[in-house]
Amino acid sequence: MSPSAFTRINLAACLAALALLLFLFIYPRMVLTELSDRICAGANELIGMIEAGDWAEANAGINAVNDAFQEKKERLKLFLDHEDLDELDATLMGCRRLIEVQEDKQILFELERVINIATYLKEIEVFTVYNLF
Amino acid sequence: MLILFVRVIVLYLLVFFVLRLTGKRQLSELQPFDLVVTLLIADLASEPASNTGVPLIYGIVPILALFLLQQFISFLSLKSEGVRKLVCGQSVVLVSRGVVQEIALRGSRYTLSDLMEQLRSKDVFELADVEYAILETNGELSVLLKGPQQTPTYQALHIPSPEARPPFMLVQDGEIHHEALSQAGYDETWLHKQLKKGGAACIDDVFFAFLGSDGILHIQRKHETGGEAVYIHTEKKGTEKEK
Repeated sequence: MSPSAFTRINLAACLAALALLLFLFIYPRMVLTELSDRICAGANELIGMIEAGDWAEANAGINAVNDAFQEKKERLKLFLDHEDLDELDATLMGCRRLIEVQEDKQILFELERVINIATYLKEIEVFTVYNLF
Repeated sequence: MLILFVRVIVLYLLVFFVLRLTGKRQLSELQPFDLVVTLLIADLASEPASNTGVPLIYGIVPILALFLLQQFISFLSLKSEGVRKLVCGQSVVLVSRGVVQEIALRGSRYTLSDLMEQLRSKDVFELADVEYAILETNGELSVLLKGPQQTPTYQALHIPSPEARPPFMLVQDGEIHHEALSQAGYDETWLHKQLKKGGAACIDDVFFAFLGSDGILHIQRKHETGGEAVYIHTEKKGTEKEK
């Protein structure tokens, strides 16, 4: 490598690294925020439906939430701990079964859990002092 | 298992390029700062390489961040004397005009035994022979001996000095190093002629042919063809005389 102050290769590598990092700072957060909001809204709607005893609507609702998650799951594996995603996946599957058998007490706990995990995943990428340390 | 294998390849390539771009110095020549960054990079790569539950990005982002920081600080160090002193530190004179600098020694957390050990590694066994000893920023000790202890030069002895030119490995394991051959100012015809003189029937018989800076061509044939070493005195291009 040339002994000049800052070689072209280094500069190109720095710019490429910077571009990749900028992309990683923006894109995962966008995807996560969108998905988390979608899941949380869906889960809250499901709680309302179950409390109203509308199981048929709840069945369609959980499928929609699950489909939205499955659609983004593989992409999210690029940025998030795979165990966290597997946990959300398993909880959504459990919710589906509980709605099928119309288990009204347990399903409310499970939906709260879905909301908690989705909120946690969203907050991972939020830049706060608490997250920093 | 295949995923682990591919992950290791990706991280290996990343670490390889990052370390190449941050400089290709040997471990012993690294500044403490560079050494810490190198160790950090290696450590950061190990977790995502061995744990498939961790996304590769968890290794890539910190490594790239360290790379950018390292490049930025290197750039600042090149541009500013102050930053260079802050990052690399300053060399410390431990022996000045034959006097051991006790305060400098203490300030550098160096004992007299450490100093003597470093001097011995430089083939200096008498402290009295040392005019100056400087502790460099990479931890190496540079030693200037007192006048009578210094090795005389060709110039001081008024002896004609040998021509200064780099040595070249012209053939290795039966393969001609064309770039080295052209840098040495010779061509393949010349080389084949020399090899024939060295007893090698063809290029495949040659283990190595090394042109020294003194102009002596050291040819060694492969073990299967005798493994003998021959030394040929070469002069200017195209003219040579055998020893």
